[in-house]
Amino acid sequence: MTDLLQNLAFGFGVALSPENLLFCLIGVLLGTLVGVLPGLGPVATIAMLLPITFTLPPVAALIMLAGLYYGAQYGGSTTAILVNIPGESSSVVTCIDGHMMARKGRAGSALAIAALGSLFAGCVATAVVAVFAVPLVRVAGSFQSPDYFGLLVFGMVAAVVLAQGSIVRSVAMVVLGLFLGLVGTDIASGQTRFTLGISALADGIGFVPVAMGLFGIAEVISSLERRALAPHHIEKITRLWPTREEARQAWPAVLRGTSIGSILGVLPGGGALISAFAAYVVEKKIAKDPSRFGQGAVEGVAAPESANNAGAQTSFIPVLAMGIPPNPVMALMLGAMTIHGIVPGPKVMTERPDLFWGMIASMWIGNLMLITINLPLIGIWVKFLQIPYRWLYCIIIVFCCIGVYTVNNTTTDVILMAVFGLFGYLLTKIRCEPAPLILGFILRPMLEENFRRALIISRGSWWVFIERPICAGFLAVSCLFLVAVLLPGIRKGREVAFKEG
Amino acid sequence: MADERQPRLVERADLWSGLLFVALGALVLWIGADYPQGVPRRIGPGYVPRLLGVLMLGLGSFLAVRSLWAHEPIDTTIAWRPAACVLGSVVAFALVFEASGLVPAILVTVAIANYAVPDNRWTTAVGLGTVLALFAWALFVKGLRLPLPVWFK
Repeated sequence: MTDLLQNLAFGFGVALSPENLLFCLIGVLLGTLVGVLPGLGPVATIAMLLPITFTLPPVAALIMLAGLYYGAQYGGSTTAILVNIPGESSSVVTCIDGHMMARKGRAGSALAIAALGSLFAGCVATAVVAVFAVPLVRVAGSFQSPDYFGLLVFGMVAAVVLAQGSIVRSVAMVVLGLFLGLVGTDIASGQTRFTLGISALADGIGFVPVAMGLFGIAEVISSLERRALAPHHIEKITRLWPTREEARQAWPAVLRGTSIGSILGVLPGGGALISAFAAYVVEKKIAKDPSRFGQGAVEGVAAPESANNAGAQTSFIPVLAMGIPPNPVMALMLGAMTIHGIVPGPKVMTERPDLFWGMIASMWIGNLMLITINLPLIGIWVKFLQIPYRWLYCIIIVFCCIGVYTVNNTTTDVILMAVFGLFGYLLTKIRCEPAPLILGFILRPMLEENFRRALIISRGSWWVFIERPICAGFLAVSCLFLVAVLLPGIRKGREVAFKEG
Repeated sequence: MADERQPRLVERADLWSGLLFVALGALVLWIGADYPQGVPRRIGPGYVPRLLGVLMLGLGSFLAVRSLWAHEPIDTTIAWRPAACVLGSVVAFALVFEASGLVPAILVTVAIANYAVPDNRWTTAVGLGTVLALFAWALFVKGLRLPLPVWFK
């Protein structure tokens, strides 16, 4: 316990340095600014703003990236409540009751409840991260290659099962991501693989062009196709604080949402989206009068908003402790860490305690900034909402291009982004989700390396994956998950759960 | 979906994704055929690719067969104009940037991207391009001091 407090105090010492505080603030503000724009979720936001962190020292860069993330998340909720356009998938549920509240003239309280709920959830989740990170790092430290392999497989399976869309197609997308990840030079043998004779591909396909092609460029084309051009109606904000009655309704929902989000965020495949969905469904199930949901129920805003923030935060645990990203946003954060020369995993905590605890502390500070600075600035964010999309998409394209170029200073990556933009657009046409692809792409090096090492340990016997209890356990649970989801009863339930949103 | 009009076979998502993954799997196996497999206790660079190729082939075949009774439809519309302009503008950025620098690249990119929607006129492109070029120059070159070529050498 004293250890924990000491660590946290150390973390706050790092995060509260004027410089880091400033970068946290810039991150939160920029994240909100971009996140508020319709059609730009946290993945696209982080990918676009990644280059501005390049010149920073790693700690400041990570603090700023984390700030960008919460900011984008919060901005997405604002758009959901005020214009009924989910800026990102995790605010889809907020749209339902949040926007109804806004239409009934309670936009201000909806925004305040979302922000206050998020702040509370953020405080709890930060504590959860701080408490569980250390033991988890210890557990991860005792893992051997086969165990890591099992854990990675489990992570990918869980991500697929908990996400939306066809399971088989998502699994295939993960495999495709794994394959795209191994284009380039094999570290173990020095052999170039699948470069098609293009020398620029010898270093592999960069993570950023793939992510920005799939989530940035492809999304722009889809938005233009959906005719997102029409000016949207923005609800007026009258009074920014909730009434006593609303606060009374919101509190229990915030508590429930926070616990659901904190737990689901840690799970592989979890994170903001699934937390928000689950919290909403739970609220609806336990409500005395479920018919209020969809008509502007306060709980319908409070619970998912708390849950998605708690989930967003606790999903840092697997990344920081084991280097395994549970969702695409975290995959992007992991990619960003790698760019800054940090190899996420159990070693980060012992080798770079300033980074580890500083980032945890900055999460809490970032949440406080959201409510003390962002909420009063709501009028400014609304102004950004009024930028017509026919200008906006040009701006997005230009920033994507500059962003991708600056990662490696090569225009090859810009071309690659266009290729993946086209590919991503076509994939959505045949109903294949790009998110699992990113997950496979980012996990490929760890997966192949641990697979290789496991086989060296076992002298070439595949039995090693079954003989080691930890690995066997992960693989068994993965199989169980897959079989379970393919059973008709559970499959129906899964479809309903996503439709409820 | 089941009670709506059933999409024809060629309009089913599983068929297309199935064919895609079969083709990709076959391609991976074909190109990767020359990579050394190694032995299981010391796997070569071709070992994992072959596994993935087989997986893709298997999953693809499964999807293709399942399309006979899984009716989820594909989205048959393609937004040609937005797709061409958006992708074209990105490629143009790469080419123009390589030949000159940041400012001309932004101007050309905006000029092409601008025509992805019918509502934009050439005046929009000029205005937006100028503002963006100035902003990007101020932010990235002056502010963040990133080493970007700005103009023709």
